[in-house]
Amino acid sequence: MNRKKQHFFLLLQLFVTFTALFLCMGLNLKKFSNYFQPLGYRYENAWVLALDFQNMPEEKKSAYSQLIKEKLQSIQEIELVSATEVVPFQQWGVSKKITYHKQTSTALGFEVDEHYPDVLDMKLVEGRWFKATDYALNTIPVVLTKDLAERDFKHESPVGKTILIADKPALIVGVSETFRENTSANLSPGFFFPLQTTATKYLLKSKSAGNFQLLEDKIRKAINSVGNTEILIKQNISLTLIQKFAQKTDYIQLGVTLIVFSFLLINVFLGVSGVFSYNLSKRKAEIALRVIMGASPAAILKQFLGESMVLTTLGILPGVLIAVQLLIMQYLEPYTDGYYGAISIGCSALFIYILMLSCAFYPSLKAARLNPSDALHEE
Amino acid sequence: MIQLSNIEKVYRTKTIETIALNNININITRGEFVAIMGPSGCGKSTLLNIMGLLDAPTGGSIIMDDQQVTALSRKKLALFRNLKLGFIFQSYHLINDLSVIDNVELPLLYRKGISGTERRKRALEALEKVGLSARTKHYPNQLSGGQRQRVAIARAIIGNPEIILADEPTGNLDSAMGEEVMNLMLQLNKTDGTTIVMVTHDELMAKKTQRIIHFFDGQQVS
Repeated sequence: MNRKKQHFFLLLQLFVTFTALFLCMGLNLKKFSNYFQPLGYRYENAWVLALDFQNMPEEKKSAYSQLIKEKLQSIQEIELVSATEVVPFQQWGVSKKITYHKQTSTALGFEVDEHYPDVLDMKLVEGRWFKATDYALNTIPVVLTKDLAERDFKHESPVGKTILIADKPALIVGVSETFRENTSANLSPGFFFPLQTTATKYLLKSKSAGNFQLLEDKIRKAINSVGNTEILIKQNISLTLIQKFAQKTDYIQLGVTLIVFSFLLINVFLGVSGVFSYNLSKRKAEIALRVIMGASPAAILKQFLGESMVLTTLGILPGVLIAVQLLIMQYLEPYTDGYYGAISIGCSALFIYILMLSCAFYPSLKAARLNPSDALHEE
Repeated sequence: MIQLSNIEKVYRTKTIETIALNNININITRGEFVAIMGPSGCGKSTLLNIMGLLDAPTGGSIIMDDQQVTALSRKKLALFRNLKLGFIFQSYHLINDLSVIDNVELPLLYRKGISGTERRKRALEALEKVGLSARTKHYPNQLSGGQRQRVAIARAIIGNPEIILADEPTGNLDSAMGEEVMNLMLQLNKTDGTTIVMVTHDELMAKKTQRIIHFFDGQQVS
């Protein structure tokens, strides 16, 4: 294989590695940074109860739901009960169209009741949460998340303003902190609004996160005491356990990515080191000649490491251009954005430069220590 | 200019000890043109490698240009070679991927404070001296043996070295081209006062030099 062909394959390998590295980093860096962002609520003392009312008519379901709430509230270990359609780490909001000043956008709608912020210790930034008395109004009372307020209202206060949600008027009564589905999720601009139908899920705030078994038993007994065999318990579990399960899935994904990625890097390392060693062994006479002409060991080392850096630059350059293009076109949203994309490009390039330096270092060092007379004699 | 005292070179393996050079004492004065002759394997090239600071002797001392060079570090040896020595080889040893002018410029690449323009200018001058100024853009494989050797000579003289070490420079050339190369070296010696040490098998060429040193079995016999 001649030198041009070898260089072509090396450049191709570098391009592929850069692209894989960029995608791997780009798609995970934002996710990783999310771990350090606040969720906007506390889940440690929360408990999830999901029921199946089977084919029960809506009116009957509503009555039983109210009764169940009262029964749950009477449990000594339970501080608060909230009926909801939104459970962190498990069931998230539904995308809805909102219109303000004839401008339409989409946001997630979180269908919850008035106790929801207290169960999850959520903080309000402005205004108040909706109350049971608001339900009688002609407009839907809504609480925006901070990121939605910033996105759609910029610097003005949204409280007291009316928006349209799916063409129905809604009055903004407050702004809550940002609210994220789970530890790795991106911010999801959204709004809270009252339950429109009977909820099938309940979030309970327990007084202590201690005895799970006891609480589970008491909740089961409370549901059974309602006396309707049609109502089945689908889920009766601590929110912490749901969070752990969700996180485990994340870890598995990350683990698989890392394994594949490490394998790729080992492959590249061995491949590139081999190519460098081979190339330098073919250039022994040239190296010897340079030494004879006065090149110091450091100059030889510098030359070959420099060559590896030039090759690296040529190899990753198309990858960088493609990555920048993808970012400009917002092709990788919502996994990554301009900021994390640029960091991913920088880190991937830096990583490949370091990788190439480490691949080239030993063969270059060997070249720098070459005995010129032996090398020329071999030639 | 070159003073070799009690030079020894022994190659040792686990089982065999080969004496390549034994008690060599040579004194070459500035501006001298010396030929080293002897049968194959007698140690001529080993001696030239030692003089060229490419190989270290097992014993003895080397003084070049009034400087004791035996104990110099690799970096200082490289600098010394770059400033003081020029090399010509039997098989030219040009870099095939570089053009003629780039090959000639090579020694100046490792000399500090010389700009690219200056390098090019000096390379053209050197090529002119050896009569190859029309071949600057050619590559070594586009040249004849004699032309390649002249490129090698241009490369050897570009840094104005005080000593040129030539290892059978006419060995691969026919008699006419060999003559041409020899005349070029004689001219360098005469006009520039360059000290030349040439290893050769060719008695006719050797007779053109000022002094012949004969070697046999690693020893200087005359």
